[in-house]
Amino acid sequence: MKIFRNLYIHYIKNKSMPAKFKDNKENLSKSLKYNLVEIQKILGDSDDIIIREFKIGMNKKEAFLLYIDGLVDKNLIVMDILKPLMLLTEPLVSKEGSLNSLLKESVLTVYNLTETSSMNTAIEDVLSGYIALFIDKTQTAIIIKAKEYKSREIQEAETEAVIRGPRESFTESLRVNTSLIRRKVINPNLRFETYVIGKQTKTKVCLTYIKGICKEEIISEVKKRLEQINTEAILESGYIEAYIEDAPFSPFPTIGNTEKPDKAVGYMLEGKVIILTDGTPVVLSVPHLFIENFQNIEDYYSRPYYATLTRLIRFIAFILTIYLPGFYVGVSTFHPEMIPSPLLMTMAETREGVPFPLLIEALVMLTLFEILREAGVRMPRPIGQAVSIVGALVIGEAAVAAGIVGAPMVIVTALTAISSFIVPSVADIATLLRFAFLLLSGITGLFSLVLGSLFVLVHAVSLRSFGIPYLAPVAPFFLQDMKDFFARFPLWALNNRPASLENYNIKKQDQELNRKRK
Amino acid sequence: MKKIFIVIIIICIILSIGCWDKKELDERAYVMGIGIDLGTENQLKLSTQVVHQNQKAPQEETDTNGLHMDFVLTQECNTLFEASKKFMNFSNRKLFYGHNEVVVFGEEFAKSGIVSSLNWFERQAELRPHTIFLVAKGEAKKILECQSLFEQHSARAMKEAVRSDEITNVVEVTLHSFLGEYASRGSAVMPKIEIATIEGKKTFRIGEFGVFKKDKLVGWLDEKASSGYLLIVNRKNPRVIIVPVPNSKDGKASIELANNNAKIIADYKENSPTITVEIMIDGNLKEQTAPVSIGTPEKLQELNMNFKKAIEEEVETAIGAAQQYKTDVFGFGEALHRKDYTKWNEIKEDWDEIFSNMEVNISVKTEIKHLGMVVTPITPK
Repeated sequence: MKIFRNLYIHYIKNKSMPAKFKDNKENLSKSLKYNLVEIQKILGDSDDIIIREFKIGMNKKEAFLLYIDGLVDKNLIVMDILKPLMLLTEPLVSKEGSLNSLLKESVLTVYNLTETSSMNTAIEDVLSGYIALFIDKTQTAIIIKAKEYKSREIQEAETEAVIRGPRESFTESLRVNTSLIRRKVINPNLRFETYVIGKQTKTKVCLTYIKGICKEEIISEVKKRLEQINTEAILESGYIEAYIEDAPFSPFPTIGNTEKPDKAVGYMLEGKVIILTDGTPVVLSVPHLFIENFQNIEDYYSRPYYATLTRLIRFIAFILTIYLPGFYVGVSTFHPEMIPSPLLMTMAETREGVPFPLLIEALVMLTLFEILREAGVRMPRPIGQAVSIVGALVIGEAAVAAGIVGAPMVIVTALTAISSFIVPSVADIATLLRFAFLLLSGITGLFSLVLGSLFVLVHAVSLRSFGIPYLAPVAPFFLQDMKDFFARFPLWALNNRPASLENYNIKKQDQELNRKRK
Repeated sequence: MKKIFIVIIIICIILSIGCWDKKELDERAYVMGIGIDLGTENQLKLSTQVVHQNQKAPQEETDTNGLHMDFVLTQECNTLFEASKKFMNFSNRKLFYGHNEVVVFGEEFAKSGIVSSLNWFERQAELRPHTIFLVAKGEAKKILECQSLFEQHSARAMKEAVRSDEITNVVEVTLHSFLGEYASRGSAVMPKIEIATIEGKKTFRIGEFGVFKKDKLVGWLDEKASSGYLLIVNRKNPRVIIVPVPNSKDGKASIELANNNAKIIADYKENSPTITVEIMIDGNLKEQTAPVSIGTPEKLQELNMNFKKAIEEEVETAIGAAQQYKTDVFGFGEALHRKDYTKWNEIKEDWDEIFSNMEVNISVKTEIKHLGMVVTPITPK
């Protein structure tokens, strides 16, 4: 009992406690030596923390640079910081304020710098990859913002493969991601707002939206929730998702994710907010509706008939992957009168001599499939695929030959498995629901299957994602959004942004003009 | 807290139901056909054709075709349900009637009235209302034991022979339609099934009709009468009429019937009912045994006349047979009812007698539409 109660309280607490920023304004002292000793005390003896002491200009004023090896642009340090400072030929004025402003304005030829008088800020900035310049008898340090580190190049997105369309995907660097988005939307209304979340990781999280299209309440809600996150580490956008989502106990995700910039920009133009996280190429999109799992960005690059067909296939595949095992078990065991006679005779023949009830067979086969799939993903690339295929075929065949499972069960499992790969974004929902429906249907047949579906449906209808109903545009019904639901109307007919997202500026193109051109 | 409690209670309830009503596919025995006969001492004999679904059956149980034989189980009891329950002493599998295709009534049983069996069919949930009814010439049990020429399960072959539009020359009578006719008109026909041998193989033959007055079998319609019946009640009739070819000694022409249309016109002349049957038929000339040209309009007209005479003969045979059995299977009574309700009410009780003595006017209009690919057959010079 108490366990549940404590869990509940813990969850409530974490949700509502505001984050406290430790803003310790421990000032730098005028003495360089004192600063140096202080820094060494705080940072310790790590190998990659470089303290480069030198003397500025003709007066030989003492100064040192503090930076982390591997995170900075070494060329810039040498050419644009050390060189101009060391070779400074002008006489230095010894007053504090003007020395720093002189350096900032005329000597340091770097593209971005600030000043700070707080030790903590300076150290945090250095740990982020900036360079701190401490000068003797100066109470402020100059922070030069020049990061350069090795990270992954812009490559093809592996989880969202497209046949036609751009192959670029986001990378782990926040700046590269923002640049990818900027390239696609040339609009002064595109806003990036950065937050720093996570006590230990201090991850930069960037909120992106197009002002004037996105609903203001959504933006303020997202900001409110981001500010409320109180945690130690944000290693991936999934962490943020867990802290800000609407229904943490539901199997349906109310926050979407993507790896491709064109998809992210497409979302923003519909009126969504994108959350970029430093350190991961996966960005979040809020609000997320259920229908978006089936709307692939590639649909819009192909012609309408084929796009409509593939969309219908996705719906059918989803229904199939959820219901097929449950339906098969339920109908065979409880309602054999629904099966056509010739099929029934064949199926009954294959069931002869099989020891286990159909429900057990189905559970075993589905579990086996999940094991094989997971193993195939984790294994090294060349053997991974071979083992999955071989495993599936051989185990299936051998099991049938040995009389452990019936042949139709293998077919049902194979069909279910393949259908689950057509819409990968709902793969986790599908797996959960599949098992739930299988168990229900094995207990009381189609009656409980239908009841379970009703339960899930009622739950899905009641969900909201940041204020937008989850199953819009079906429930509540938006007629004009139907152009992009089952069928994908041609692009010249999609005049408005989705009404379900309650965005401003709903008209995006003029149909009159498009029609006249035809 | 409350929510978790509720969830736990629901799970407990679901688990305590267990797998109620669960029966694996191989725990059932599937009945394909039911046959009902009269047994000893007025008991009913229920025969069920059960599918033999065991893959690992020994070789002796297969017949010469190499197929596994479905077997027929028979039990006798006072009522059908009792008889069906008796099967459980013999098998570990429960009989399942959900896939039952046909119900065959034995001749003796049909003659004594089938109403005693209909109630079990009506009440039970497993039997489908569209189960085909057949009346057997002979014993129903022997029919169920027959093998079909093509199918593994003969009951399904029987059903498909009746159902298929193109190859059948019988009317499909189901539980549903028979109950309807029994309740309203009181007379019905049912397709006849009998044992026949072809190439030495014993199989079944579905052919003409048996005539039911109320629920008792009173007689059979032969080939011509069955064809006439189909014409009068406006059903598809794939019959072939043989007529003599004009200008030839003994040439015979085969004409296939197509597009038949019938109208029953009822009238009361001097308070006595009259029926006129108007039939319009198209014929397709399919074959003629004498290579004589029939290309001229006069010859065609003569062929048409022969055709018309043949059709009239068939319709008269049908009406004559029905009148002989004193059963109005065509729906003449309904036509009279539609024409004048009050007058019909007066003659309703004696309708069978009136019908059997009534003069029915037949008016037939025929036309030979298609002659095929040739008009003049090839003859040596």
